[in-house]
Amino acid sequence: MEGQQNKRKRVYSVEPNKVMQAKFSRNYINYLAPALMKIKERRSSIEAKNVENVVKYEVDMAMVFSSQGFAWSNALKLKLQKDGGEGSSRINYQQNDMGPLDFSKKNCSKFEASKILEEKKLVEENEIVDDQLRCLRKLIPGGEEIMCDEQMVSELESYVSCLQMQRSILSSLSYSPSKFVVCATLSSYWIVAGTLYK
Amino acid sequence: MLHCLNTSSNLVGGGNISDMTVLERQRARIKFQNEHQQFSGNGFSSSHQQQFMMLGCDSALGEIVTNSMKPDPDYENGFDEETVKKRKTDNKVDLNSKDKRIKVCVEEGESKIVEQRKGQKNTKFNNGNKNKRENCEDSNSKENSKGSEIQNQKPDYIHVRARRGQATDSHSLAERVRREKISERMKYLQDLVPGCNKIAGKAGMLDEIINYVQSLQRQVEFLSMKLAAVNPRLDFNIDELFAKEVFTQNFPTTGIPSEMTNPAYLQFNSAQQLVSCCGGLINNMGIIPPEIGLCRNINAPTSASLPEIFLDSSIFTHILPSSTWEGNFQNLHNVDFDQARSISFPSQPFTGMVEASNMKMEM
Repeated sequence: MEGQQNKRKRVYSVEPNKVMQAKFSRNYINYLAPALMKIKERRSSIEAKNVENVVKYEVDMAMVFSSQGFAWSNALKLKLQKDGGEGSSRINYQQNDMGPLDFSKKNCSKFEASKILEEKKLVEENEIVDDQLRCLRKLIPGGEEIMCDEQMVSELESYVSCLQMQRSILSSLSYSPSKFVVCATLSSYWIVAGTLYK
Repeated sequence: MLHCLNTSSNLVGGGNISDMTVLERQRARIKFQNEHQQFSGNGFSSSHQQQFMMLGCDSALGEIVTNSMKPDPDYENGFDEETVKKRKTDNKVDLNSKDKRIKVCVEEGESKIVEQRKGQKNTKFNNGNKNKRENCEDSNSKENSKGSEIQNQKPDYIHVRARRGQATDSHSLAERVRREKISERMKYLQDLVPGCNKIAGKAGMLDEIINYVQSLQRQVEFLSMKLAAVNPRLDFNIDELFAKEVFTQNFPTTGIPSEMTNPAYLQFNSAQQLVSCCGGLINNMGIIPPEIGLCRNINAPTSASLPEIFLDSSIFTHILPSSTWEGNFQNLHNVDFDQARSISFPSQPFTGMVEASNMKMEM
């Protein structure tokens, strides 16, 4: 028994993404659950409207702790530490409607103009893509500091997947808290049981 | 000398183009080169040349492209110094993957050939393009090696559209390379963002992604507000759960190492499935904590050793047939539930290791 306990049993998933996601979930819940308990205990001492901010803060911090190693995660952490839980870390995104590419406005009258049109299309598409990339930069925490677009897009991948996971966890927390209690503990167990050990 | 030969061959290929495809051009080049070997003056065989071209991708190729851009055969002899210079400078380029280079190159090569057809601007282009030229050199050299396997590896180079009307100065080319890289990465994003598969254009896809990220952020915000409202009802009785030593221990006692090799276990160990199973367990069976038929055998958590968890496989037989979730963890893990179902889970216990001390602290 002792030997088996000490043996680290490596487990490899055929889908490494899921392992990463499971680790994220575990870390997230591990952070958030006690934080929420603390908030609950202190609830009387906190004003009503601040509770939301505090919860939001904790939610974001959980996100930071679960996804270490990404540039946006560090940026988010810095932002949270700077704001100290007062401001919302969520950027209020003003609707910047890109809209679909609309080339019907162009006057394609002549035959030669079609070539120019094609050229303009490409240029315009490039401009639109540039605008969109700029928008994405604003969306990602710390996006402005990321130098090149390619890196930003790769950060975006991790950010989107972490956001998805965060949303799922939060939704299960909010909508079925009693069930989540068990879920949380069990999932933590299973996640740990199933993941790679680092 | 070699580059002289390349020059001549490429010149022919470049100069006579009207409607020839790239392959034909290459063949013409090789033919010309074979015919006019005396230009080189040192009797390089074509095979040697091709070898050299293949080997010397990084260095000798500049000449090929630069020379292909100069339609005037009189410049042939004057290439030597220039190409030598280019050879030295070409080594600086660093690009990620050769395939990408080739891909980019093809387009650039096409564009260059087009340019040659149209405007025949040479010097400015040559001087400004060292980095990108290497790409083209790479592809061109490989294209020149007739019948080589490389051509088979890029079967689609013929179909690349020449980017007419696109400026070919270094800035635009650099930008184009950049955009290619971004497009590559956006393919991964396509998998993440639901509904992106149908959209073809880059701009539309980015639009979708932006909307999706916005909606995710808003959802998280909304959910956190809801969580704040729900907070009083939350009750993580985790210590309680830990303390309880559960239940039906109708399986072999200890974690036998052979169990680890159990293919079902290995298949099933994707934590996603575990979590989703737990979620499903809770949701579908409506189990409250004490009644979970979940077997845990936690050894003294204070010890440094890791305890083991045993799971009664019967739980999974309950879970596996069910395919409807309450959606709690469904989004989370995108479980391919058929995968779980297909696993014939024997009655062997499912073992795992837990960082119990860690858990204890955090919980």
